[in-house]
Amino acid sequence: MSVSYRPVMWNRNKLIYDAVLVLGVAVYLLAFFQLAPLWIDHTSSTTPNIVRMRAFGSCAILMLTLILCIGPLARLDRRFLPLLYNRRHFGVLCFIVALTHAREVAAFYHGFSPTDPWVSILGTNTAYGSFLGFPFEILGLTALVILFVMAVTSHDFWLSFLTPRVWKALHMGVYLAYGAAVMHVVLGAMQGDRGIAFAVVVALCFGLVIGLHVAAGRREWAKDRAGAAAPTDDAPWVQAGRVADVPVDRGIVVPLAGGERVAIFRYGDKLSALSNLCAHQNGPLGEGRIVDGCVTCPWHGFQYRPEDGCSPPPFTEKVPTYRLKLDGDRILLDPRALPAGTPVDPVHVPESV
Amino acid sequence: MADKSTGTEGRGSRNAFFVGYLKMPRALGLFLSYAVPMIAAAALGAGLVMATTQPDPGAGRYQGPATTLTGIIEMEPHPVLYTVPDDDHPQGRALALTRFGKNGVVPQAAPLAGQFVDVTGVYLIRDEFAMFELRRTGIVAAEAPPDAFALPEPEDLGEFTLSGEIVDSKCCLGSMRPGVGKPHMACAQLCLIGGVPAMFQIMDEAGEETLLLLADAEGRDVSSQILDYVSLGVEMTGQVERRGPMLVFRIDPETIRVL
Ligand code: HEM
Ligand code: FES
Repeated sequence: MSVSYRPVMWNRNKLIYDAVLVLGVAVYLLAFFQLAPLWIDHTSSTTPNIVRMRAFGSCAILMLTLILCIGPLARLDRRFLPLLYNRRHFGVLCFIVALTHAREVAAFYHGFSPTDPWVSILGTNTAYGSFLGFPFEILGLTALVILFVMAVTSHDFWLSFLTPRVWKALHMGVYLAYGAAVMHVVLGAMQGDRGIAFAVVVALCFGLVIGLHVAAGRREWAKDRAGAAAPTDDAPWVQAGRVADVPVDRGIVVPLAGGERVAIFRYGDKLSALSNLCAHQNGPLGEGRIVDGCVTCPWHGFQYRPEDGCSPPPFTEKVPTYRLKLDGDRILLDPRALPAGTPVDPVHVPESV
Repeated sequence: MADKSTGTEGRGSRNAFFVGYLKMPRALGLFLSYAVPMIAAAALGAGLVMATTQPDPGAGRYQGPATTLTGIIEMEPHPVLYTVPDDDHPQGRALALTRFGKNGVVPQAAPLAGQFVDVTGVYLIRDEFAMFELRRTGIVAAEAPPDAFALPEPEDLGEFTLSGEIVDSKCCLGSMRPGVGKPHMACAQLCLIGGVPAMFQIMDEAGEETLLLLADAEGRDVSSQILDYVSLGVEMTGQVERRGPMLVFRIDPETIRVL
């Protein structure tokens, strides 16, 4: 968490994550360069520079596809959460692979001429009005620039500097990057004689990303509808479920009418309510656990004391808290959020409930 | 808080709770040790499909070592060397000229236009098509030919509307494999801007390929007017002219239509 900013905070899980990533890319490239030619039955060989463009370009789009699948996959099955934990390193590596692709293109297709390669990428083909002749390189460049901005702002320093809201909005740009990259391929390689199998793979990638997002979105929407807090006669208190619904050392997520969500946690014989949004990257606190007496975010493990929504010292993050009371075994919630870090006395669950 | 040495372990992978800075719960580690290789294998499979379905780029290539050819250079629409006939080529050859990079040879050829020259370089060859890339001394004046030798008289074959692809001759003949098509569009445009001879690649029903040198209606360089149509399927109308072994397509750029 964020007391001081070191370039990257390593731990065993991140090291394993990164090792698997780098190994994956290495195996991919090796297979593209060494293994694939064993299957290719034409005798004429493609220029190695073009093979490299294709290897790095296809690797980048597959990596971006996987990166975008991790989010919804983890929402559908929380066992994939460890893949989300260090996703930003995945993004940075994807940028490096995409940059290698672009540099290969710049040096070969835009090299060997008096025009500077990057000027040439921007200015040689200007048929923006044409579908068939569209300068698809610009779409690749757009994707690359977005990936670059995301890679350089991926560190937690930028997260707190820009505030989590702005940072998150910025990093939603990954969808724009993906859209641009897919169009880059549709208007570029796919208009050449790259073949039907290639088109099918790209379509499957795109379909997978869309499909998983729709599935996760529907699941979320259904959960929100099922769990929505019902009003009571005792305004402003709303019904937030039954004590028995909240497993010990875990939480439930209660959607409010205004679209906010509240996380209610049970620890020992106590109940407390916090905003569901983690102060780090807005991870869903209610899906976390109590670890060492603290609510622990399922995404990157930021922790908050359930009584006041504050991270234990030396950390300084805070989330809003909410007031709770019991009516028999029913939990009632005051939907008005208290300022982040406001202490609220926990509700004691009597033996009888 | 990060000094705790074990993760929060639940029963089974679905109950396990992962905290990045703590030790991975065993059941979850086991799940990931299956899931991650499966995801990686799917990505690798997708990559192998993309890698193994790369199309045949054609057999274009450079053919060395550097040799010296003798003949006359015609400058319009692009420098073309018409060689003195020999036993292998009783008609002589017509070789469009280029030099290193995305460059034509106008600066090198212009001072010797229409004269008898020695040109040193290597062939770029694909199937029965060839051009010549300057090396070393490039173009130098030669001694006069033994027999009377002149540029071929142009022969008008009539007006044609042809469909095909505008290519830069150099990449098309194998300097890049593949050196045609949409992915290669900007590169081909750079080649034409640099003065590499523009050609029109057409295929007949039997798949037989023909390359025609492109010119404007007056027979001059037309490259700057056709850049937006390079590498696309187009149809255009003009006069076809035979100059010895070379076909020249004198087009009206206004007639170009993207197919
Ligand atoms: C400045 C940025 C970029 C430029 C100039 C560029 C240019 C190109 C060019 C010229 C090709 C055709 C290569 C060929 O002849 O086969 C290509 C293919 C491709 N590019 Fe890019 N690109 C850029 C960025 C990107 C990015 C960011 C991605 C993905 C994240 C990407 C993904 C691809 C893919 C998947 C292909 C198809 C490869 C294949 O045929 O196997 N490109 N790109
Ligand atoms: S979102 Fe990163 S720890 Fe909560």
